[in-house]
Amino acid sequence: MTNPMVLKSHAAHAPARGTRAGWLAAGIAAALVVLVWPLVWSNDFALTLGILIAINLIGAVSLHLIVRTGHVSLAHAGFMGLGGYATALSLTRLHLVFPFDLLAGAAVPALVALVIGPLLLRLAGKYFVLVTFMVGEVIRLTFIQWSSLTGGANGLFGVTVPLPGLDSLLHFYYFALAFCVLCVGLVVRILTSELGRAIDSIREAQRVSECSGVPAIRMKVVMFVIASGLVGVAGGLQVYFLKYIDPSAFTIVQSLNFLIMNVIGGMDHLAGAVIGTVFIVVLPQALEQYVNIQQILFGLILVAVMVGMPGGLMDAVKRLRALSRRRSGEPQ
Amino acid sequence: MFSATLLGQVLVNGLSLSAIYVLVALGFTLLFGIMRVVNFSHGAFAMLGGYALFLLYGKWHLPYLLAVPLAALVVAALAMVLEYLVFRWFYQKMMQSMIGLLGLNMALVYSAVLLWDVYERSIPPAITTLLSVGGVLLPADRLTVVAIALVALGAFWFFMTRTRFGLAMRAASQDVETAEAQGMDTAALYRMAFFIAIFLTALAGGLYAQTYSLSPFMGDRPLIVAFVVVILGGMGSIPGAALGGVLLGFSESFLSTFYGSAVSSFASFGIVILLLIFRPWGLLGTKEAMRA
Amino acid sequence: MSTGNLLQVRELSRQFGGLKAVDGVSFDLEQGEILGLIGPNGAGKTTLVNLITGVVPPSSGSVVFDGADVSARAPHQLAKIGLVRTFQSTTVYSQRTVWENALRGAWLRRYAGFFPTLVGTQRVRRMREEAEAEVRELLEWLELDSQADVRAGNLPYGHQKALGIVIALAARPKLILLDEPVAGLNAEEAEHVRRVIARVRERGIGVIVIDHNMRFIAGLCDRVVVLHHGQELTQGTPREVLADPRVIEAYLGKGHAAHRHH
Repeated sequence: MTNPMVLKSHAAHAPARGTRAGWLAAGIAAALVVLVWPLVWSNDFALTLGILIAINLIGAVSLHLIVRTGHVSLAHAGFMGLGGYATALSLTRLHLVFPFDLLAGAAVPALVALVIGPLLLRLAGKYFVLVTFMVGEVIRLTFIQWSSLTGGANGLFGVTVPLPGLDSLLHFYYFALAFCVLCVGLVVRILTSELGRAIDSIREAQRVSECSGVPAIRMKVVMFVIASGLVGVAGGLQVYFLKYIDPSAFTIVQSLNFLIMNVIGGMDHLAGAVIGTVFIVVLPQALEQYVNIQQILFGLILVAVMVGMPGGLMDAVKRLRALSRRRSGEPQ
Repeated sequence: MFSATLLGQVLVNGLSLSAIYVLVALGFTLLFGIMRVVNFSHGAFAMLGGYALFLLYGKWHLPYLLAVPLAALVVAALAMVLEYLVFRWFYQKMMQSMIGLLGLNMALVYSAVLLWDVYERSIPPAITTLLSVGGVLLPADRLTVVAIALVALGAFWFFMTRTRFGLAMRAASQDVETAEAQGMDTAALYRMAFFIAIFLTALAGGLYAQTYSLSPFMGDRPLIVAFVVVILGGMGSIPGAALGGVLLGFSESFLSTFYGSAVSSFASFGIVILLLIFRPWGLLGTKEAMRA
Repeated sequence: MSTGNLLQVRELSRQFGGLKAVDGVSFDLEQGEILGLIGPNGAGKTTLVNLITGVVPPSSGSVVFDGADVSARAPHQLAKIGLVRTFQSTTVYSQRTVWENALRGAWLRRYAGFFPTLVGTQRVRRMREEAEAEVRELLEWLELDSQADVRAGNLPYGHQKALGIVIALAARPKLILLDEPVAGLNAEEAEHVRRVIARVRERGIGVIVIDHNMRFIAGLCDRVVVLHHGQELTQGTPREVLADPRVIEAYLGKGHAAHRHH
């Protein structure tokens, strides 16, 4: 008979005490840095970068939610656009005030996802990718064609700040950061709960999970709807920031960027999306002069990652650690 | 509105578009059917075919009927390097191929931007005469496109049905493991399929660039076309690619002439999305297992 | 002492185009019984199981489980009322530990609804603890607790099959259907699985086992239903069925029907 203590320790599903405290400390330190640095070093460029990271992180993390259910969506930027236009239009046409315009920005893509989700999520992986590719294109074409509503290819101008004082970059940074924390926090909560366990089981062996009572399709749709709502919020935030919106920001390229953020960091863990986002947002700034080279580099990185380490950076790190542990003779 | 000349031109337009689309789609479906690779960089190879034709015919003035196949040959030959470096890691790995080849597409397109520039170029037409067929004026250059495409398609059909290699490729597309077990050199087969697929695509790209215009981003349209056609016809189905190409070419020609290109785009996307939802194996494909 | 029929299958049929994969099959299962479904390859066993467990909708006929008509319900709905199955191919979550596998089977016991789960109420915590205790007990009972830490994919194949049954049991079913539980196993591993299945019956859970290996079925089941070309050929105790010349003919062809097959 086994020592019941062995089994009990699995119940917590946690690593040993020491490393847990270590991660917690690192997390607190990182949180402090993120909160405090603008008060110490006031730099417009860095603030803009921070805002972009915050907005894109919502997009990447929400896509991660979809990816965790086993589906890759290439329509994510399209949904972000739906949120952006919804916010812009409710501000300029319906004269809704904050937070209702941002709520509209979350609600519109979520509703669209609710309608088409059940149809699309029944499809196998490769077909889902192709369909979302098409759906993203259709959304973009709609933005361009429905010019009476969306201003066509020229877009909409005249978006004002949602709250007084948000004209300042510093204040907007905290505004965006707050939403980023909320959205990422929601996704973290979902993934670390029983829902996350169910999602993983759906992705790994859908039939088995269904026979354990998991309503697979329904859950995929729920996650798809939540993810679309979240990226809609990101779209709204972007509209507030840029004070205008046009269709060119919501093409397949942006959807791909969100995907790259997930792939580079590693598709199995949320932390991968965070790493990937920072990487993807910051790298172009380093290569600012050489836009073309930057795109070539992105492309080559993507190829290299899929060839060499399809699990992304996190998986590569994990494997390196396992390798070094084996070398030094430690038990795994 | 529906005059004979207009209809005639719409028809010829539809024919030449169909021809180009079928060529593009065939390449795409070969890569999927045999190697299970979803080539998101397919449009980029069409674009390179366009630039190759531009150089050979537009700049160096080689005779047209030599330049066209030569351009495609050059692109296909150079692409073998990419086959070795990139593609062969993705064979039979669909999801990885999708994302990885998306990356390759970006790299190729922006390399083209670096090499040439973003501005559109045009390739001079082969003939500028207008033919009079039954009292209707038809542009001869479009007819030339159709003729060239038909020759290529005929050669392809002959290869696939009458040569040993063609039959081997078709066998491999049905069942790779059995083909391997029977001792077929699948690596060589893949390389041959790859070469043919890129050749057809680059050929189509040259013709497309000549019909419309040439730029590094030219490949976006052929890529979407490849998807639409292949999904219409059924992924991995060669006759499906032919059927889909013809359907799309004619409907586009008709719709865009009379209702504008936006309606045409919406229509083709809408139909494809509906197909993917309700009949994802296309009009002629076979119903594989739907679950991922 | 049967407590009434747990499962009633009546005239169940499924057509694919022109082909009748399952044609008018009927049988009952009593509580605490082990029923075998056998037939040569292509007899329609897997389709029949798919019909009963909601993977494929029937063309006609009915399935009544525990008094309720479940003819067109989906697998996850059936799991909720106590009807669970295992699969022949994908049996376990191979990248996860044995413990995690078993725990996933108990999802229904742990899931308190969308918003409570998100918020993390007392009820959620309580359900989690109770479910974990149940799973721990389950693993001990079937002697897999010593391997709780092992990655399921690293287990010997026989143990993986047993783990698949554990995942099913973790949902506290009233009836489990096992699809070819010993396919690809050697004699020793098959015996291990057979013992696990026999112990399942101890807990009053009904079992339906699908296989084409007659010896295995004969050694395990109380009753057997024989399928051939989608139709029910005969039913009865293993002894009766194995002596039936029609069954022998179906498996081995007409020539062997004259001999008694043990």
